[in-house]
Amino acid sequence: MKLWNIALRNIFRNGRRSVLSVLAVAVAAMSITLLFALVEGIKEDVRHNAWNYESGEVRLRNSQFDRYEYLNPVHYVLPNYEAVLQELESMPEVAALSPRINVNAAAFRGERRILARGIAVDLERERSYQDLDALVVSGRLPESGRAEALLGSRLARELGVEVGDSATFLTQTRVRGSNAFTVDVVGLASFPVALLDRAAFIMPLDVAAGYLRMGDAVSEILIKADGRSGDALAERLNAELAPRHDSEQYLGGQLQASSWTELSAGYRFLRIADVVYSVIALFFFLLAGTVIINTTMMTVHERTQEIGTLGSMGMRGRELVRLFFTEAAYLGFAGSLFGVLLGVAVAVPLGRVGIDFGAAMEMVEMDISTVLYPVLNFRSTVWVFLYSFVVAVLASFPPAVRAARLRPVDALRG
Amino acid sequence: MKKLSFLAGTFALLWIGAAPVFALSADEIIERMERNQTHPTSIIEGELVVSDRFGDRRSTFISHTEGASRFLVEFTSRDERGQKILRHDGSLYLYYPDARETIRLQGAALRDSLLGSDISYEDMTGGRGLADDYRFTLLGEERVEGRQAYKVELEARSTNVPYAKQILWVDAERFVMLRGEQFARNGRKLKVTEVLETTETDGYIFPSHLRVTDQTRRSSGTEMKITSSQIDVELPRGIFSLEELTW
Repeated sequence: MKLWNIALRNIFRNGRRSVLSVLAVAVAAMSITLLFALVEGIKEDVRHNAWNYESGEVRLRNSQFDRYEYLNPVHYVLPNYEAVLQELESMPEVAALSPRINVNAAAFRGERRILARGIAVDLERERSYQDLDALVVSGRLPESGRAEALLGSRLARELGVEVGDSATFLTQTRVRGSNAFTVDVVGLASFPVALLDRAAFIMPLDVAAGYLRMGDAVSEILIKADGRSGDALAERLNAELAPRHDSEQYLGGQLQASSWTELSAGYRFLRIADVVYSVIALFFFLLAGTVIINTTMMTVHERTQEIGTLGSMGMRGRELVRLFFTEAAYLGFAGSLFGVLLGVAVAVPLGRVGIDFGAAMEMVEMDISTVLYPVLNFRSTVWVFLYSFVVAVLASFPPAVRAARLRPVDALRG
Repeated sequence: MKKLSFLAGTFALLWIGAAPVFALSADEIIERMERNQTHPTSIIEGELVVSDRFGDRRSTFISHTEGASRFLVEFTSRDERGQKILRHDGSLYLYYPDARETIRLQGAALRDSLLGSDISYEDMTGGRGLADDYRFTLLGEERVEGRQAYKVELEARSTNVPYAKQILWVDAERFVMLRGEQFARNGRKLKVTEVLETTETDGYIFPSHLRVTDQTRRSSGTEMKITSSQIDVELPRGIFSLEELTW
């Protein structure tokens, strides 16, 4: 009788123990499948938020602004931005552009000063950059040329305003003075990132330019490329574009391109998290492996006389080890497959409805949404399956070797 | 005997008459200083130069005041034209032409700086008289910029004031502030005010050029210069009203 037949029969001889081993592996495999899907979802979410609300895939700014960013130096601008846009549009790797004016502002309610962050965009051009309509939960988007704004829902609540009301903000201007302006609240938005929902409002670029005395300048230009060449594009822009746009209006700075990979705190966090989660996965599988070790040792103990019989019938130590390995392989395969399939079965619907982390994300100062959608990655899922299978098989090695070393005469004596 | 009494009485009168020169209390010193600074009405034009690590920025203004508690400041420089600050009924209001409503500043918002300068809105709102907010202690006399000055310590009566402690050097002859230092509760020096020039108009002597440095900011300083002043003039009716603010 072939070894794999014997192994298969042995598995069913103690069903409960076999089920326990399979479950241990399955739970580990399912958990890690879900964990990796969630991490993929977070990566996708961070990328989406960074590209749309923070840095784009590549961001162009005045280098002096970055240097003194903590002082909100509004006067360090990108002057003559239309000329810069024209050059960018001629580059084949550039997919979409978003010139922006950042309006760091404050509103006052009694004794409270409520900080707000205005994102002034070219509303026509922005349609090809991102889907702003998807943010609107009531009302509409503002229109160019009009003193209107779309407020984050939480910000509106803080200010005590609704669609149809107006809001007045105090801000700094390019000439380093102050100015206040009033906008009509034409819509409320639900920003995916909690911090943005509490502070952000969207207004027309041309209107903000007037209030902030920007002239022909903007604070920054966000660029979307093809998703893979951001770093290379930033390098190229620094080498080729920056020297062509050097003037007194940069006030000692220069046009500087930065890739989102160097700007996004979320991205940097996830690079580290990737390693951490892999280590966590290893521990999960090792834990599952201890169950395999335990059940296999119990099997060896219970089948000591049987092992002695097999030995006296001529089965060598190596074959015994292969027998136990094969049993573990069956159990590992079943557990890994079951666990991965279960993980996929949970991840797919969660990927549609999302997981609401709500309050946990309130104070997270990274571009991570409050609702996260797990994303299955084929390569990661296959790796989880193989990982859990290999660990399960290797876990059977110590007890298998122990069984192989038993002398038949001692084993028969029990 | 009569002659002795007469001499004693004369001596006593001379002594009492001379007493203020030698024995002015801290309260009296501050009161006389405030009398100089508080005008029945005034129209003052001036400029503000704000210096920071990014360079200098100049703004001009015209200020109408009535007593210690009402003023209307209107900025006349190009970048701030039309912006106004009104002190009215104990509150501070900001008006900007691009805004459809005035901004009322209260509480912590008063600590924001005026046009990014070293002067806060709260610095502009002291109107009840320092005696209402501070206890005074005369620390002695010192020379400041060649002038003999009383050194007076001001200790806050409550936490509802901009500075827990101040030290003022008041010109012993003219009762105008020459220098001021403002401190936080923990003793940290927050601001230094130096009076660079004074002016006299209609018997009132007050600082016409002063420099304020915020000790908590690097490379920061604000100079305020008065370019013209009229005291005790007739002001337009209703000038300190909210309606006038938005006109």
